[in-house]
Amino acid sequence: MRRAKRALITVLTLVSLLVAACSSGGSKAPSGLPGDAAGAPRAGGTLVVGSHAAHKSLAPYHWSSSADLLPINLIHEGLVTFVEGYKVVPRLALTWETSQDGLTWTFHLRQGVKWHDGVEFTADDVKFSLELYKNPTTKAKQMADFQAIKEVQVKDKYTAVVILSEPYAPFLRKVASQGMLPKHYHEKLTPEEYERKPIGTGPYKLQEWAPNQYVKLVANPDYWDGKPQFDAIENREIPEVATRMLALRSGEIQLDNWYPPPEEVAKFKADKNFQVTTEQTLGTMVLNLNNTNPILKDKRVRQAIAMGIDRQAIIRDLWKGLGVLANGPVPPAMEWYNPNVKSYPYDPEAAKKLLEEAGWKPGPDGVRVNGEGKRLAFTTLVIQGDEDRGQIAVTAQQWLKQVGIEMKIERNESGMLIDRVWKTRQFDAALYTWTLGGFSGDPDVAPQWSCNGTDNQALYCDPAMDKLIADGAREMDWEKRKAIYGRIQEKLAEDLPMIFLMQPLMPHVASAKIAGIKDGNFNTIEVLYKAWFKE
Amino acid sequence: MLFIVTLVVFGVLHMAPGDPALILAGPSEATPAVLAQIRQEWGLNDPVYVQYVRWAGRIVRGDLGLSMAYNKMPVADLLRVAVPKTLNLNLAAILFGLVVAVPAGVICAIRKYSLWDHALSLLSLLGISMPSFWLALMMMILFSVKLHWLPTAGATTWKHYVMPTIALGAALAGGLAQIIRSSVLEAISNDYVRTARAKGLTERTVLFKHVLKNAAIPIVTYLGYRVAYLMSGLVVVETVFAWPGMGRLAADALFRRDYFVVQATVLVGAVTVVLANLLVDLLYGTLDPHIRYQ
Repeated sequence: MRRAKRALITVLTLVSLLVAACSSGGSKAPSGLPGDAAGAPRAGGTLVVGSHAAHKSLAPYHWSSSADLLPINLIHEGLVTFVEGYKVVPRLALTWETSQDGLTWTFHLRQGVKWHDGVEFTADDVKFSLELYKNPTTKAKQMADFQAIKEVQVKDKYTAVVILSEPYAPFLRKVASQGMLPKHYHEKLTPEEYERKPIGTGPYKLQEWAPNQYVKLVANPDYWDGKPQFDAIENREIPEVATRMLALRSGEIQLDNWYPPPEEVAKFKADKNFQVTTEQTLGTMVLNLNNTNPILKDKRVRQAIAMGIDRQAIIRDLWKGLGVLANGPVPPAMEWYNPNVKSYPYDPEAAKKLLEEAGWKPGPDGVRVNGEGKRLAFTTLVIQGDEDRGQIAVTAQQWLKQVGIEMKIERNESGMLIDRVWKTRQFDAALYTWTLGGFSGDPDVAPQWSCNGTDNQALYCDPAMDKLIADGAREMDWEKRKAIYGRIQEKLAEDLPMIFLMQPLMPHVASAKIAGIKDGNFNTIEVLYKAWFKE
Repeated sequence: MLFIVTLVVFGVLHMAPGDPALILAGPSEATPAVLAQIRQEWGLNDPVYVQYVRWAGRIVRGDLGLSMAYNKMPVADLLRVAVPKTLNLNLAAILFGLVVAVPAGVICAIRKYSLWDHALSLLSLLGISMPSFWLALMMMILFSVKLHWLPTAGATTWKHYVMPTIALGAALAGGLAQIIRSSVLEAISNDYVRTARAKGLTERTVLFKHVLKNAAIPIVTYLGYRVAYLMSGLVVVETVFAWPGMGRLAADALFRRDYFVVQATVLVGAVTVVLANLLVDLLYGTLDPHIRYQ
């Protein structure tokens, strides 16, 4: 009897623990969707966004993925920001001017802007922010971009002057666009403390960050550009894409902020309950080739690979049209895009001819061999679990086989692939998507294509290219600078250090109940801040 | 034993390719200065054994360290959220398993070879063989998209518990029902059951006081063994349902080479399995007076 009682008590305790735990989370109020006249912006409601990754940091210098960028960019603002096509427009700076020698940048700040705690934003904050990004102890992701800064002077309360040690043309996009930080608040905290409870000048304030669950932002009623329409925005972590798609359909989330599978996009487009907008990202899907590999260092082999892969078919059939053919790392929507570069349309016969010229003759099993009997074979790394790109690799493998190239595929866990491509350099080729110039939209490609570039993924090295890159970074005249980057694109298309497959278009699926959203990057302040619920 | 487990994981983790500094800084953005700063700050330049001894020394003092991927967020803070969530989900799954499997197993046993037996046995087989990922998505389509009864993802209200509990508990319930069926069948043919019936006890009393009690040992053994299995199944279920528990935390930490979080989750997992086994041993003594621990 006593044992039975004890067992009963144990079971009851477990049940009560479970019930207590179940109820401790509190209930989440459903999104209220108030509204008035049709068509006019209406205030109210909570927008729930589905995020593909866990939030790691809410500081603009330590972001980890676009999951972090959405709240970071709604909380913080830069001196300038970007609109569609990555064009620069003023934000916290109203105007700015550059000295003739390109060494002095003067920013005239917007007056009356308040941090989320009510303190006024001034030039002291600009000085503090730029110095913080530059300081190695901050370990800012953008640290390299800030090294040209020699000094930041506070001329008066609303004028900040930045002195550079050398002309640095990417300054405006790469430096002045970064989120400003509150001196009075941040200097009492370490970067690690700040990134969990940031304040900014942006349209939304941080309300709650539940690690591994969500980040909730509430509207800033004192925002200098007017209170935003959504009362709150919740960035909810749903790592599994299938779940995110179902959460969209069930109405739990109203916006998906990361690549939905192409076939799902087609279904959402056909559904009147949803709207699909697209964004020209700065990403390029590439088959990166190790230019120090004995086989792949020959430009003719790289060009033959490009002509041996039907990139149009990849975009049309595998990517369901959600991409544009890439002839270089610059998407056509960018203002410095050069359309007049060498292109490599699908042409297996031309590819075979080029390989013959390079000394690769058909071998007994169809794979080409050179005079030394070496097989024309290499291995491409693909991220384990990345089925979309995995499928592209498998298809490319079949095409390349037809021209006598053996491409093996090896699936690596993401950390391992990063290690092999960026650190140990133990790779032949790798298929992935990378972003040009960070997220700034600046054409500077020094990290990627200069011999000593920190992001030189293809191990490409050409002194002529180094000179062009150095000239481009120093040139302050926009037209002249554009011409230099035009030449860089021409040279990249000729040398083809990697195969530029396509520039993917990022689709965003949103509920049809949302009005005011447009094509563009939801991680920038320009898009979500002005949207609203129709009903 | 626990330290051997952590030592092996620590060793394997450090031998595996994947540089935490490079992953943390971002391969495209990392500069040598930032990488050097990160490596120095986290002691990654030291030999592996030095790093392990340092970690173990801190653990002994009750310090789980800081997360690398979460920019120095204390690992204890991450576990404070994740451990209760996982524990609750596991307990809910076990409870679900018992509530479903005990009646099903008993019905199968006492109505041996009947239509009930065949139908429930088939269902239990389905429970065991259905991949939790597939089951989870099917439930979401029905209960979230079609009926709008339950939320797909998250862990804040009781409604969030329903589908992950079933997804995690289905295989447990299926296996348990089969164990219960065979245990009850075995117990029912014993002499003491015949004696109990001869005494004039009702079938209900015979079943609950004699048969089930004697069938409990294999059930408890199975449950103990399944705890370890539940822990591994958590990675899938927690990821699908965006459940902020240990499984998701561990998987994410592994991908990011967040050494201290991986170590902490392994430690918690190992402690759970050890405790589950201990509990099973103690329950043996309670269930069967023949088993006594000196």
